[in-house]
Amino acid sequence: MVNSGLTQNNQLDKEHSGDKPLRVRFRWLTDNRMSFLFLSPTMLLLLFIAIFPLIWSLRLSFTDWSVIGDAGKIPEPVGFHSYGTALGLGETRTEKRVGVEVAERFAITGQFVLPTVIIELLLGFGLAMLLNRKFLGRGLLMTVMLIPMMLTPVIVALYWKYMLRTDIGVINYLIHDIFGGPRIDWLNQIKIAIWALVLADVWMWTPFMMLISLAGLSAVPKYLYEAADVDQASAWFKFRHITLPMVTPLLLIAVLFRTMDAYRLFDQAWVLTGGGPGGSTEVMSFYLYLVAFKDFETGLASAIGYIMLIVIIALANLLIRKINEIADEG
Amino acid sequence: MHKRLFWLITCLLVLTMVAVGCGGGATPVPQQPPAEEPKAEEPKAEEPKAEEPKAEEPKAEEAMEEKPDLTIIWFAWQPCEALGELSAQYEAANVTVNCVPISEWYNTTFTDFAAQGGADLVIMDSQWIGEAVVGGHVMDLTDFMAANIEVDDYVPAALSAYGEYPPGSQNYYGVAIEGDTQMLVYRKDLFEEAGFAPPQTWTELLEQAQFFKDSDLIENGYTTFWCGDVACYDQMATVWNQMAWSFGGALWDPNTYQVDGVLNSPENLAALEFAAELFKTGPEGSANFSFDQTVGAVCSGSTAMTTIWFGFGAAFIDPDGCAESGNLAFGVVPGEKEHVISLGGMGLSVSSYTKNPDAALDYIKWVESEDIQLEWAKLGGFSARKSILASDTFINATPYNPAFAESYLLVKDFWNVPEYAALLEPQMKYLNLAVSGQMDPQEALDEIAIEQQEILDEAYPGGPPQ
Repeated sequence: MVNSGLTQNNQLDKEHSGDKPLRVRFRWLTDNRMSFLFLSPTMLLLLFIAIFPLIWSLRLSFTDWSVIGDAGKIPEPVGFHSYGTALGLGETRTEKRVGVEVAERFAITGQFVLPTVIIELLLGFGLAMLLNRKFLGRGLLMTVMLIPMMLTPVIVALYWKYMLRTDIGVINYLIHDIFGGPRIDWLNQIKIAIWALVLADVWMWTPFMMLISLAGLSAVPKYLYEAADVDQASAWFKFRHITLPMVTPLLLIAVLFRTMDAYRLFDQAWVLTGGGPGGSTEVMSFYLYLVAFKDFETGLASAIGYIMLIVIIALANLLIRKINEIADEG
Repeated sequence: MHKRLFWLITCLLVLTMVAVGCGGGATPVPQQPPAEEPKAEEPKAEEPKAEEPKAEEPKAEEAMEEKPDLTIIWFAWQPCEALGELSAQYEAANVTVNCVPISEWYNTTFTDFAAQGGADLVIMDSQWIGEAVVGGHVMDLTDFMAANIEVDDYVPAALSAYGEYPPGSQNYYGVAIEGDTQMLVYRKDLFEEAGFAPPQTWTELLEQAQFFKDSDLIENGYTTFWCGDVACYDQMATVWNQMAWSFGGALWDPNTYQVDGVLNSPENLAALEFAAELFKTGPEGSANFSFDQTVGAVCSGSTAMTTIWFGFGAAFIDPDGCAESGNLAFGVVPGEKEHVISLGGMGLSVSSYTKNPDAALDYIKWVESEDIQLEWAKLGGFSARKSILASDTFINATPYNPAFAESYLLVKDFWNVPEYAALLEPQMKYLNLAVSGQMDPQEALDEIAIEQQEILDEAYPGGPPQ
C-alpha cells in the first residue's frame, strides 16, 4: 500500500510539474518548516497584541514618558526613577505623595482581597457541602445559584449600586423597615464603602468557589467514607480527615484564581463607588487607571503595573508551592 | 506535496490578510493650513492660515464629487444629540458628532490628540483649553474669529472662558458652542403652599430647604450633584465654587498662583460649612449623587429644590420622564454677599491634526451664524451670543430660557491651566468628605490648599508664566 501510494504521488508530481517535479521544487518545505508556517500567523498576532506591548511597557517603565505630554517624542530612559517614585523613594513632594498613595492603595487592595476571598471560600465550600447530595431540584438550584457569576461585572455593580442606596435601596429597606436597624450609607462612608465592594464581589463569585468545591467533593472516593463508617467515625472526623485533605488542593487552586481576580478588580469599583468616598475604594487597578489614563503618567503607570505584576506573581507562587506540598504529601 | 502547497498558499494568504489588516489606513497627510504643529511655548509661532479658510478652494467639479467628512467629539447628553440633529442640516460636509460617556470625554479627546488623529473638531471643557494650547493640539482661531465671527455679540465671559489662552491675552483657540450655567429648579406648588418666593440668597434657600425637610409637604428640601468621585469629573467642585464665590471667597490668586491662604480663607470656610448644612436637607446617602440622581430626586417628588446645569433642563419638562414636570419652575441660582454662578458650557476648537481644516473652519462659521444659533436655541441649545439670548425665539423656546438669559450674565469660571486635572482631584475628594460630614471643613480646605499649592509650585517653580 505504501509503495503504491508513493508511485501515485510520483505520477502526480510529474503531471503537475514543469521542468522539475513538485517534490524537488518544495524540498525545502519540511514538516518542521510547514508546522512553523502554520503557527506563524498566531505567533505574529500574539507578538503584536501581547508580547510587544508587554516589552514596550517594560521599556516605558524605565522612562518618565507621558503619552499626551510627550506625544511624538522618543521616550528617554531615566533608570529606576519611576519604580523609586512608586515605592516611596521620590525626591519631590509630588513624588513622595505618589509613594504614599501607592502604599495606601496596596493596603486598600488587601482590605478588599482578604475578606472577599475568605468569605467566598467559606460560603462557597459550605454551599458545596450542602449541595453534595442528591435531592429533588438540585440541578435547578445549582443553575440558579450559578447565575451571578455569569453576569457582567458592570451590570452586577449597577444592581448593587441601586440595592445599596440609602434612601431607596432594598438592602436598607430590609435593615431599616423590616428589622428596625439604622440605615447604612454603604457607598458614602469611608469605613463602609469597601464592604460594599466586598458584598457585591462575594455575591458574584461565591458560586465559582462553590462549583470548584463541588468538583472536589464529588471526586472524594466513596469507599473512604464507607471505611470510616465501619469504624464508626464521627461526622467531624470524616470531614477533618477525609473530606478536607482530599479537597484542599482544589480549594487552593480556587483561592489562587479568586485572589488573582480580586487583586485586579476595577470595573465594580468604578461603577459602584467610583473610587470614593475620599479614595477609600481606590484599589490598585483603579489607581493604576488614574495614573495611566487621567494623569497620563505613562512611565510611572507602567512601573506601577510591573510592581503589581511582581506582587501577584509572588503571591501566586506561595499558593502554588503550598498546593505542590499538599500534593506531595498526598 | 499538493496538500503542502495548498497549506503554504493558505498560510501566505492569511499572513497577507493580517498584514493588510494591521496596516491601518493611509499614511497621515499633514494638515493643509497648519503646515507644522504649533509649538507648545509659542502657540502662535506657526499659525495656520485660519483667517482664510477658503484660500485654496477646490474646483467646482471636485467639490461636487464628494463632501468632506468632519467628526466632532463631545460627551453624551441631550445637547450632544441636538448638535447631531443640527449638523445634519449642514450641507457642505458630512458631520458626525461622537457623544462619548462623560467619564471618557477627556481621555478620548486627549488620546486623539496624542495619536495626532481622531476628531476634526473638539468640544472641550473650558478648563482644558490651557492644556490643549500648550500641547499644540488646537488651532489658533484668533484671526479666523476676527474675520468670520461677530465676537462683539458674545457674552465676554463666554468668549474668554471657552477659548482664550492665556487668560486676558485675546488669543482665541475656541468659540462658544454651548453656553451653560446652573439654574434653580423648584416645586412651585409647594412654594405656593408654604408661601415662599424663589430664594434670593443662599441663606434663604437653606431656610426654605430646612423647612421642607422638617415639614410633611415633601421628604427632602434640597439636593444637587454632590459627587466627589473620580468618575464624577468636576461635579462637586462646580457645586461648591459658586457658593464660595458668592460668600466672597476665591479659589486662588490667578496673578501669583497662590492657593494656600486664599482657598482656606474664612469666607470659603463659611461657604463649606454652609454646604454641609445644605447637604443635610437632602435625601439620605446623596453624597454620591450625580446628575441622574439629582434629576430623579426632583422628578420623583422626593425633593423640593435643586441647582443643576441648564443643559439638563429638558429632563425636567418631559412629562413622560419627569412625574413632577408640571409642578416645576425655574429660577436664577441665588447669591450671598456677591452673586456669582458657576460657568458651564464648552467651546468648539479645531484639532491641529485635522485633515480638513478648511472644512472645519467653514463649519464653525456656519454653526456660529445667527440663523443657525437660533436653530440651535430651538433644539434646546444655549447660545453665548447676546443677540440670541435677547431674542424672543430663545426666550420662548423653553420655560427655563428666561432664567438662562439672566443667569448667564453672572457666570464665573475657574482655573484653565494645564494642571487643571491634578488640581481638581483634591478639591473633589476633600470637599465631598467635608460636605458629607466625614472631614472637618477647615481641615478639608487646608488639605486642598496644601496639595494644590504643591502642584502649582512644582509646575511653575519660577512663578506664573508671563
